[in-house]
Amino acid sequence: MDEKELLVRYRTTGDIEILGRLYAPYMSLLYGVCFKYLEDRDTSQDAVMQIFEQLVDKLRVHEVENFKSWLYVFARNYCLMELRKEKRQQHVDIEHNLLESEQKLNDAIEEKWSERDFENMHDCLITLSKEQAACIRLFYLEQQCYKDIADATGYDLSKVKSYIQNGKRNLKICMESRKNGK
Amino acid sequence: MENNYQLSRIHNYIHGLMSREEMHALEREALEDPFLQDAIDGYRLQNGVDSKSLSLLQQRLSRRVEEHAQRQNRYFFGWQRLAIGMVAAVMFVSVCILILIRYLPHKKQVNVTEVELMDETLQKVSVQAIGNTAAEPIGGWKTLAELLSKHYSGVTDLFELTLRFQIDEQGRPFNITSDVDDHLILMNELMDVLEKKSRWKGTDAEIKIVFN
Repeated sequence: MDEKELLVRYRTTGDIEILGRLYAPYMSLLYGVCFKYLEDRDTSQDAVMQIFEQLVDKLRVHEVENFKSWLYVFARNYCLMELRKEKRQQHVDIEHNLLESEQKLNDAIEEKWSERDFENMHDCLITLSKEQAACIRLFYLEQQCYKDIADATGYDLSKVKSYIQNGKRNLKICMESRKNGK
Repeated sequence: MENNYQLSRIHNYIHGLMSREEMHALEREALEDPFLQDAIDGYRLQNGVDSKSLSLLQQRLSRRVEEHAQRQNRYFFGWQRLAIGMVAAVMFVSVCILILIRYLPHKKQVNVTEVELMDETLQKVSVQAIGNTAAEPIGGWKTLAELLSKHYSGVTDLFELTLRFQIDEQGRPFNITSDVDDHLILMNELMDVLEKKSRWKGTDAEIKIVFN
């Protein structure tokens, strides 16, 4: 039985065992996500169990198309709410989150690239900042990992990731505007 | 399965156990999958994958699922449970009926006792000397009356009767005669009590027994 069937079956029967089968494969990833935000082993473990408890009711009401994405957003919101409850300050990278949302929206549209698109990309790469352009080139064109890029450029490892994420986003905006004839 | 695969990839990635190509592939994947990216960030913050925490979590989840199944089982009324319940109910009703049956005769017995008490009052007699009787019972007239009340059956429709008798040297009454010809059972009872249980002073006596 695949994930979608399990979801439908749980929604109709409310059998916790089915929910357990759905949830178990994601527990280790969820624990990682929770630890990222809550930064404590016990709290993160409790959070993973609490998220499960909330799903018991939520999944009986909501029709979920893509369980993995839905679960991720739900878990992240849960962690952020927990942090808010504790009145601790948490810095969430807005750029990063924005990129994710855009990705989700655009994921469905698979387009074929023409000669013109490659030209546009070349032009757009020039518009990026020096650091972003260098990281994007090394990551996507030369297929290097973050560590190699950090070694080659001398940038901090976390900065490399950020340059790639932001560079990718800027590149996308630039490409789309050129495609629309601006 | 896929989950374990991803977890071991994250573990290898964080500990630098991957080739450059594998690292690049995971990083590209994570750029498209924020779930994976956040999990990598979390495990990196934790300095690696903690398998103990994860197996603890798996245990907690299976316990939770089991608990629910047991709870559901407790409230699930299958035909077997219903049958057992029905049998228990029938047995309970039967026991109640048995108790009631046992209790009801007790009530009747209480009524019977009341009747007996009334009989007791009916059985009371008083005795007195009549005529020129000089003789008297040892212990007094009252004791004699109590003796008679106690030992005769109480079955009589007579109001009173007169007895005459003589007394031997040991003080025992003999030659007992009565002014009543019938009521043989009563007469035998009274004569028996007088002869065997009463002792007298004097030679002869005439007494009147009044049944209250």
